[in-house]
Amino acid sequence: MIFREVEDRDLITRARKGNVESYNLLVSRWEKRVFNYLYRLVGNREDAFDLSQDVFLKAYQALGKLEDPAKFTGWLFRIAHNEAYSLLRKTRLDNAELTYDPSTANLGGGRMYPMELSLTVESALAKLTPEQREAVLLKVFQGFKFEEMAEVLGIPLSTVKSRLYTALDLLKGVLAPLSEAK
Amino acid sequence: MDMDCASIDLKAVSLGEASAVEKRVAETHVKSCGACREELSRLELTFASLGALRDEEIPKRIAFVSDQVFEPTWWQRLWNSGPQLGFASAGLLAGALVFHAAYPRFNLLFQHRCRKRSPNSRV
Repeated sequence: MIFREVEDRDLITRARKGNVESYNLLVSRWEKRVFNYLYRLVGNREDAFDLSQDVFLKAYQALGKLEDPAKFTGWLFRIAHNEAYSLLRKTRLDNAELTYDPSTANLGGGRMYPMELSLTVESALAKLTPEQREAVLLKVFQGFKFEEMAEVLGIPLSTVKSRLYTALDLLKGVLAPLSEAK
Repeated sequence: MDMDCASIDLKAVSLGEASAVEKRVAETHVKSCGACREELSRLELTFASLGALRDEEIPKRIAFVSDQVFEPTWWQRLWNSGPQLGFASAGLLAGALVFHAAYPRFNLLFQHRCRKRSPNSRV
């Protein structure tokens, strides 16, 4: 992990000097994570791919403004967050909040296969508000710390925790019974 | 749940955000509190379910090398390279010095050729 961070810093330094190959390597390292984050946020593969391209283009153009190369990941996801939200604002994809109904909690009931479970998780995530979903994505799937999430999202740490905790309560209501059934 | 339960942040513990002390206090509490034990268990089950979410493959690679838009121009490359810019400046300076030193000779040669081509110009 430490070596990987050093390598990323080195690649950023070289990319800043105009070395496109170094930047391309950085892209190949981060494209899947950025794409998945955007996909879960906007819910459309094509939009997520277009946004991913925009994110890496903007990151390349603004690489000189990145003060601390060690903060590259948070900085990159901040760009991704901004891109996703400008699209969400345009398309007004404000989904309804997930209202947990105990009668439908055990979706399908009984044992679930990995693919089924994956789809159920996807469906449960899709029912969260974009803000709640993003908090879960950044924490659970991307492994950011609360402080880093606050920087990426540009909101106070207390808001980060509140969004995440509300989302977890909603997800817990739907997903915990599924795992118990397994 | 009693007052102790409310003061323990089980979500922070399960998310790995609790300090070592908070974690130890929570672990001790959970051993003696059935409600918190169950809550922690449900959180763990939730994370286990979330872990089942499959990563989507990116439709195609995002490639920049082949795109000329991202290639820096010769001027950007030169500007970004200290040694290259230094050599270029030194080269220009040397060229100017050589030209300055050689200029009187060129001037003489030019005048000599002009005289040869138009012999009547002396008159």
